[in-house]
Amino acid sequence: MARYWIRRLIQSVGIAWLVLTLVFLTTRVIGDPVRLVLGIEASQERVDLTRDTLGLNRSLAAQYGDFLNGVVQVDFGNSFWQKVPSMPIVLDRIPATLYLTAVALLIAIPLALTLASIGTLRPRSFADRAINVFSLGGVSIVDFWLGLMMIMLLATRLDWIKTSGYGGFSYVLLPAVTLAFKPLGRVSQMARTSLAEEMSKPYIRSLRAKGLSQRRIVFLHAMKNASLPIITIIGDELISLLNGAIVVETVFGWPGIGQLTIQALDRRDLPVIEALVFVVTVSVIGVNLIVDASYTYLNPRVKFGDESSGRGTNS
Amino acid sequence: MKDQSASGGGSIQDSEPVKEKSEVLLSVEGLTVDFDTPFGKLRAVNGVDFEVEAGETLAILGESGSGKSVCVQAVMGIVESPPGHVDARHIRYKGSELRDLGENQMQKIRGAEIAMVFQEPHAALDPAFTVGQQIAEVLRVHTGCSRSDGRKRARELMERVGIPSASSRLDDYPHEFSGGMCQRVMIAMALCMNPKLLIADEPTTALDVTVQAQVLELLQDLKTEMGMGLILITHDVAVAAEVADRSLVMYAGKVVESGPTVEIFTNPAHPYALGLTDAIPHLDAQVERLIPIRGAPPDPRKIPDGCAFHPRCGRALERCSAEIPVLRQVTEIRQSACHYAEEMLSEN
Amino acid sequence: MAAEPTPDAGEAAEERVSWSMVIRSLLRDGPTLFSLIVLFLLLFAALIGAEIWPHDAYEQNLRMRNRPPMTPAYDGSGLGHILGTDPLGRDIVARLMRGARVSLLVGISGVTLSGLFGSTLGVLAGFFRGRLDDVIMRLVDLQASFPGLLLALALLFVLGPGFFNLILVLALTRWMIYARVARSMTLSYRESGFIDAAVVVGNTGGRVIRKHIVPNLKTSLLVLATLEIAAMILAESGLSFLGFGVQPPTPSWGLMVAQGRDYLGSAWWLTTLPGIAILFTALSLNLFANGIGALTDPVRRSVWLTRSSSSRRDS
Repeated sequence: MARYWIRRLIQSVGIAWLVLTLVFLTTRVIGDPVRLVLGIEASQERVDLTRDTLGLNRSLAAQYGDFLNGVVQVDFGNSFWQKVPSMPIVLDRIPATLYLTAVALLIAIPLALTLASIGTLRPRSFADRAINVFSLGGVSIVDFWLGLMMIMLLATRLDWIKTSGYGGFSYVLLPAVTLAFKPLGRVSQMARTSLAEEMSKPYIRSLRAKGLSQRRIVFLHAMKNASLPIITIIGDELISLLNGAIVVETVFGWPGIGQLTIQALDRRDLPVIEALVFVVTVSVIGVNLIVDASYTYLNPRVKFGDESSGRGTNS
Repeated sequence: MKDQSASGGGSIQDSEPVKEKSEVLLSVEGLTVDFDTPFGKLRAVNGVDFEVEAGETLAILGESGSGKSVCVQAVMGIVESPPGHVDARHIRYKGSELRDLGENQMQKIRGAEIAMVFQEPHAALDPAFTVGQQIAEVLRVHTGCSRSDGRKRARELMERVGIPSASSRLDDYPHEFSGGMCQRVMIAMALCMNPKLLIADEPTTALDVTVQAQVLELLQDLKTEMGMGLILITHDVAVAAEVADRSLVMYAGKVVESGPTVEIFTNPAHPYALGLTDAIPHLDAQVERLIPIRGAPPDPRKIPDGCAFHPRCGRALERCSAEIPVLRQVTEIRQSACHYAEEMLSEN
Repeated sequence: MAAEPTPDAGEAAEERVSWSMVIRSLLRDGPTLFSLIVLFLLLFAALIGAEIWPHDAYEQNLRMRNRPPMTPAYDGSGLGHILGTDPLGRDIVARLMRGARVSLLVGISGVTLSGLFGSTLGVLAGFFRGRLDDVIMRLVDLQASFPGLLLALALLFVLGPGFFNLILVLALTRWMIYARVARSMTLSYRESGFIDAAVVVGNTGGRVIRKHIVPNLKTSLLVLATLEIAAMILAESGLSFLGFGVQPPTPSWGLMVAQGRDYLGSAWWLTTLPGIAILFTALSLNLFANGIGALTDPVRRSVWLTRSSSSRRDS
């Protein structure tokens, strides 16, 4: 078991390295990075000056060496825009995004699981209909539009709801609700499907014959067995939330890394962008590892090394 | 019609002691189960009666699709209700009508008074919990006992059903057991609360032949030891012949023959039962060819007119395709649903 | 011709499907009907709407800025501005219709590109297995777990704005699902034996793929593609909203929502209407995909058809 995890960790480092190398190549090789930063209209003098300053006229190998050096020290250079080291800028914004996504998940996941459980206990009732609506909405909803609609309709009528900026409940409510829509739809749908699948399995019948209440069967037995696909999708949603955060933070002026991404791209601030990519890559890898680690606890049949009950490539 | 066991006061030649009328544990009359399907309403069980007494083993025999499993599921109240619909004149356990009981009360009976063991033991156990937890669960849900007491009792039961190294295996998961061992676990789970009636639905079907014998023996021992009634559902005639005092033969949702097992197979009163007997290989008898019953059980949506068995019956006559036969008493202790039952009996 | 159920012993009553039955079932289903209407309107708007509408999508008129819906035309003639005008005086209906064209273009070409690329890789992986399969699936898993929007933004940053770049980037971020589906279907066909039969008879790998696997994949991939057009349209609108997608003056629904953001309180129609367009389009595509899905999956189809025909059968 330990060997498996060591292997995973090494693989993860390898993947991170691969991603970062790709970033390096795309920014330095495809297109002119200086033009990228300065924009098309900059004068040739400015271009040359900047190229010198940034050390971009050195050989590719030397640049790569610098880059890797930076990665290892987790330093991507100073932000072009703010003239201070880029990584701290990024790290500074992370808590805000974490706060927002945590609240969004706190809204979405309990609601999703509750709906799925009620739907399983009472099929075809309001819960199932709600799940259908939410899941359809989840894939069809336009998050930025929804946010704007909410700002337009609610904030003008209810003074205590704030439409922009960082703060407590009244500030985080609207963006969190907007962000929660997609995961609510997907998790509730997936949970309902998994639970339904479990309920059709033979062991459920034995449980009934033991005299267990339907509630116990659904909440304890079916839920535990269905937890694997549910956890998988929650893991997927955690990453998707980064996507949602970019848009939602922009709409609501929430100072997290989503908003930072757009600001950095607008200002063509390469070091910050690279730092962001690094942070996101590490997060993605981290979430995947955590989700995989939770598998063994939840389903005793999954023993790593045994490929038969893996996820991902098996659809 | 009730199947009466030998009543007291026989003929002068009767040298057997008068059999004590045991307590009737379960009495089912007029059981009918329908299912809603996208193709219309399907009748899986069509007017079935039977009784089980304490200490006796009743086998319900039939091919897949005959409705045998649905029957006992209906008794337990675990038929999914939609799409299933259960109806009966009565389903009485120890005199009380089960259909009058609410779900809460039924839950108290399931697993405690009437217990059930299923086929495919691996699939019938929850893969996410240990065997010890699942056995103890019965106790804890029904009596609210402590975790340690539950665990202790689970270990005792596992030992009783013959699982070696019970204490260490308490914390193993179902997938770590063989089929036969899993089945023993299920039996242990069923016995937890000393039920009066045990229903075994094809308990040996998914197991190897040698293991089958062990499990059947275990069931019989336990039955005798605890004075339970046992309903054994099987499609395997040999199993029924081995273990059951009385048998019920089902076809297409109806009972086609019932009576003492030995008699049914030495002297069948229905062509289907005859067919089943002929199809068994006998180790000691000299048989030239095995005669399987030709054809296949009917699609429940298209049950033949008249006697449901007539298309496959070697002795079918005109009356068989026109008139539905009714289960009737052909001797004191034998019932049959064949128009020509008496003729069959007299042939032997 | 519709045949009466053939009484095969034990086999489900396979009704032979006739076009009239299909169309009748489709029309009977409320959501599917709704989606068909909306999609038809969309196609109409995208293809000829802009030509026949009296107002031009690019024509500015600064004296008619931000006029509400049902404003009469500037010169008093004919059809007024049914849905109002934008901050530069341009007719909203005209812009919506042009936006429909853009969305459709992006959606269809994006899906075609990503679909072809992804399915090809998926079929190759599933058919040849071994090393190739491993590498392709690794790549799929890798990219699938990275947030797509961020990737798209990064690529657009490097490649620069532009219609073709947009489609390319969208295709590059969404090919993975086709790969997974195509691979899993290829795998199951591989198991089913008729592939072995084809190979034994002497077909080369390429021919087997072309003649035996591809035709079977077509329907499922088509359903997937429909769902993906919705996803693509949503992705494009998000990118355009953030300023990295379609560039002005070309109208895109996402862009229109962004432009209306400053006038949220004063000119509600600027953000609301394009958003509704996106929502309805995505919704309809999803509902429609559900409908076709039901039709092509033989199990669901027989349930669906017998349900709708049970009224004319005696029970």
